[in-house]
Amino acid sequence: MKEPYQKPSVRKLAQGSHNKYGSGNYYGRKVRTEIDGQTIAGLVERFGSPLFVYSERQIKEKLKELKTALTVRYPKVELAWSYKTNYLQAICALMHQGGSLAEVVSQMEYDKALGLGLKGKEIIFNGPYKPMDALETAFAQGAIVNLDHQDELSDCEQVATQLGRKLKVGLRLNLDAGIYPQWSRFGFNLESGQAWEAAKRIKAKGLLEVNGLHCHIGTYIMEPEAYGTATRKLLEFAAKLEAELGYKLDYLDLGGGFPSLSRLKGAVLPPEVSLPNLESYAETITSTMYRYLKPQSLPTLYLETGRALIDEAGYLITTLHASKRLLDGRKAYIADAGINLLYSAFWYRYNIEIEKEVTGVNEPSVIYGPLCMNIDVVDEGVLLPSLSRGTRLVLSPVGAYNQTQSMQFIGYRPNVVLVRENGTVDVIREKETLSDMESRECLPPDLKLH
Amino acid sequence: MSAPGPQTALISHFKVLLNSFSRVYFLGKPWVGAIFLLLSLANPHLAISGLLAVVAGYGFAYLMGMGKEFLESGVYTYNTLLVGLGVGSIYRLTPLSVLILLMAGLLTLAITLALSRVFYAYLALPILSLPFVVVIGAVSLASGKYSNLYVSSLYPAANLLPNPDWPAWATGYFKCLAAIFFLPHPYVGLGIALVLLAASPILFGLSLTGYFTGSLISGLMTGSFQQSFLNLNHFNFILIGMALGGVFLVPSRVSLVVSLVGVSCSVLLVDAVQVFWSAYGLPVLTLPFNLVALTFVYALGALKFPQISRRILGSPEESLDFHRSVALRFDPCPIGINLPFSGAWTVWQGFEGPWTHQGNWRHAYDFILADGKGQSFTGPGKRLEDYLAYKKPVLSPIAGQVVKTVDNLPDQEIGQTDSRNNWGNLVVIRSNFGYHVEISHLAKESLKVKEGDWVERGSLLGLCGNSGYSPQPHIHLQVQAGPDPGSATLDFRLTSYLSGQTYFTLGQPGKDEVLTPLSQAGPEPFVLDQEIELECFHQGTPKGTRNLVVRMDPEGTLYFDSTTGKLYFGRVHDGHCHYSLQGQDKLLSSLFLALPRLPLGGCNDYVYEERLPLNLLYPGWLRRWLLLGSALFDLPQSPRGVYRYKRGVLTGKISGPLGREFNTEIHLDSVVGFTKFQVGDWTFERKQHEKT
Ligand SMILES: Cc1ncc(COP(=O)(O)O)c(C=O)c1O
Repeated sequence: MKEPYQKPSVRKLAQGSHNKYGSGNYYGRKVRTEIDGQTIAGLVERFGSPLFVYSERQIKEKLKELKTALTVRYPKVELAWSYKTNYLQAICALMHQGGSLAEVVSQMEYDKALGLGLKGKEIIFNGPYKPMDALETAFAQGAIVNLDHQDELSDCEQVATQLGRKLKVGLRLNLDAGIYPQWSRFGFNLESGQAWEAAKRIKAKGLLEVNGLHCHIGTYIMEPEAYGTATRKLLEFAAKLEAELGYKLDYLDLGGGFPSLSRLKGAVLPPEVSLPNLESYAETITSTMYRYLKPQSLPTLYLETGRALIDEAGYLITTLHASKRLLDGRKAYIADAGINLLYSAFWYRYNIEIEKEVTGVNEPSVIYGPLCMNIDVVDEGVLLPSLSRGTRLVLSPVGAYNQTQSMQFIGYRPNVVLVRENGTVDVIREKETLSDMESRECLPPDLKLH
Repeated sequence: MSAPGPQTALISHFKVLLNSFSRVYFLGKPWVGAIFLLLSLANPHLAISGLLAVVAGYGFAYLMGMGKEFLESGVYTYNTLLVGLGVGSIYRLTPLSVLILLMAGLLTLAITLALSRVFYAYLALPILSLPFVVVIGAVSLASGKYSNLYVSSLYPAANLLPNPDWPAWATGYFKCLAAIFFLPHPYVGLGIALVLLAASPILFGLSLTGYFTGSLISGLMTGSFQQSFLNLNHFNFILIGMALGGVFLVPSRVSLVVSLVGVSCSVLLVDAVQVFWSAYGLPVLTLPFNLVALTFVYALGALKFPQISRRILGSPEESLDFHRSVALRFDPCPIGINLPFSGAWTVWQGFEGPWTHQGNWRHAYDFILADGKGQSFTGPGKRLEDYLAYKKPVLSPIAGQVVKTVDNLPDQEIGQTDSRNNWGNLVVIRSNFGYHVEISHLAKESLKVKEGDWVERGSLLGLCGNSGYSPQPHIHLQVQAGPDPGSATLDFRLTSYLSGQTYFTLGQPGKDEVLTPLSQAGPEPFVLDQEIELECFHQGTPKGTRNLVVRMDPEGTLYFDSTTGKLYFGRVHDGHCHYSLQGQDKLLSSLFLALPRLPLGGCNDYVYEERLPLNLLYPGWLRRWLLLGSALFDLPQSPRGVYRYKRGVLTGKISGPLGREFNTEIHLDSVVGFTKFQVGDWTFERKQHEKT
């Protein structure tokens, strides 16, 4: 097809710090005037500031990228959307429409998944705290349950007795995949023999049956080989389970942990350069699987990828409310969004883009949030030209973990919108009001002022 | 609808008997047989002789422990019946004639069994009424010596009914129609004609075209149409017309032409046999019919005539319905293999592709990986690594043994090709069914198998590369007779995949289709002897409980047995398929409509379209006329269902001729198959704890 003619245009330098002048230059600018065709100014005019903006296009593209990377290498793959990463209904629904199951770690998340129309068997139930009634519901509805510890194992045996049938369970393992810190507090340890003991005990009691293995080696894992190691160890364990206990694996769940293109504090190189792409994770995992598995009995590969799927599709627009000079001479801005909305600011340095071209020389600047708290710092030193009051900045990536961990603290939480592929914008969460916040409060009558 | 009680053995034996009567006119319908039996009572001696012979033959077979289907079909006992009728038409009932009747009946059964084996094994032909011809011939010749029998039993075929005053052509037709039953009487013929019209308009029509074509030609030859209409042997034209036009060939305009050609040729035989056999005092009987029908069917079979009936059912209409839905639903190509990859790949070149899939190599596929816009690379596309297909796993499409590998040729840079080693790195696998699959252009030193290895479907063979004559990394797939790389290709189909969103059990996709193989299927959810208990509701009101049992017929096909019907099903290339419904049963037809097929490999979202047999939607008489219309004018189309599967629920929209439209829905379960289904106003719910 012939592309429609577009007038050639010259754009001012809008790269990040990685351009031919090197980093720390005085005139480099990061400018973002729009998100998927919606101007920043227009969005704020309609929906206010601060404003979380998600791009449907980006969500779908990322999901497809990961799914394709896996399915062209291995025939049985299912993604399970890790609810805790972002459980806004619209986001979960997009993931489910794209074919993802749900990965939940609490009764609340389980209920949310059911509420969105998922069936029990489309939910993977993880986590160290699964109350008895939650377990009962999950098993009755056919959910995939990965056990975390011995006591939970006993609980499940009790449920099996109640339901009067043998229940299939997965074991969550922790193992040394060369990643520090090792997340050893979840699941049964592999190397120490804890996992094997648990499996033997299950066999001895005969009330449960192990049909899956789960392992989440951590989050923001920058080393694909770690997944190769984890896969190898899990499959060796699976072979032992089959040979000695007769358990056949229906699935292998490698958890989440792929990094998003976000920059950790202290990282020298920008993430596009320092991080392996999703293909290399897929390659390592699947090539290891082929080495250990027979084609007639391939287990389903589950991945509970969270961060890598949603982070980059989320933006936060914030408006500069004021500026001041600090004692050490640095320029400081007070923005209308702070760490109450940006939990990930503790680890990330966001990509900060200005809504329009601004002239002037860059200088190191601090961006504070609106909270009256010392820790409310969005960025401690970013190179910005002198910006006037009311200028809007676009922070990204902010799609992962901020929505779910944002605090109701000091101010109201803002609107969240989704820029649709068809060019419209939908509010997917309205901004809070006082009555939202107080709706569950009860003021004893005698405490009322009149 | 309520649960019907178990049928008594007596009823089913009686059905066999009636079926023998109806098979004389190529129908497998007890009610038709019952009327024919009544009509034959026009001559009680004859009717009773016929009955006696069948009972003797059937009883003998039953005592010998022969299979149920075998006996029930009526095909095997109708020769016995004919012999009984034949004897009855010569001799009245006396102890002596009963004795000869029994001898002849059992001899017929034995000859039928023996001949049918031979015919089936060597010629793949039915035996028709040859045993009858042989035995009645024998009886005629032998009885010349049995003067005792002669004296006691011979009787003039008494005319019990008055003769109507009809024009010669009508009398001739009706008499001939009835002569098949040894009752050459116009009124009996009229009765038979009416039954035929009701049971099978197609057969009725063929009896007319057959009779008049043959008689007119014969009349032209002899110069006397009057004589021609008086010739009772012309019933052969009727039989030939019906057998060729509607029984052994699926009814259609072409089959009609074949039947008329057959009838025309048979004029010669009818007249020749008459001269020849009467010299020995033998009746002509059905010999011409047998010779012509068998020869034509055999010859057409040898020519692979597409209208040959693959399965002969209760009537031409049923065969046509079955053939239509089966022909449209199941591709007869004998070789079906899986796709050699995982994920969604694009057909770059298909069968008879314009670049290299020509002549001897026309049955081949090239697959590439492309992004959503159809582009096969990212970036500039100048390096191998830019190509999405490069180094992706290539999986075995069949189970078999690796017989040839090449692994050391370099991957050609983009823009270069190696035409000396044009197949590049390759694997040839010999299937357990004898054919070979060649996969080419693999990446250098990427092979994971060596010659002599046994592989399964889905085994990792190597990685996609760009070795040999390959302009860009792709997988070349072909099926061939021999193991040598680049042998001439064989026709084949791809199995169990989605094209876009559409599911195919077996298909031959074209260029640019995006194909995703379904993962390999688990076990069939329905197993032999399994009992399924269903609660039935009509518009929400309970209508009782019904049971289905999974059984197997003598050919090894599984079916759901509801006692009033049989729903045949099976596994076709990793898919569960319902084949056909026999009998009338709301529950079974609903199950078929709700679930014509089901891929057993994992897939959460797909659509497919299905042509459905008419007998699922239309009552008998209406269906018969629809089918007559469809045979003659290719109208109306068979009903069609558009199905969509999403997360455990298959919903269907069904539309058929005469404005029939309704929706279906079935809730599927990977362990028990289904939990409930709904078709139009009816709902069927699986009871929980059932035996398996
Ligand atoms: C069990 C489990 N699965 C999946 C995830 C999602 O991880 P990520 O967002 O790093 O992909 C987490 C995150 O902590 C987890 O604990």
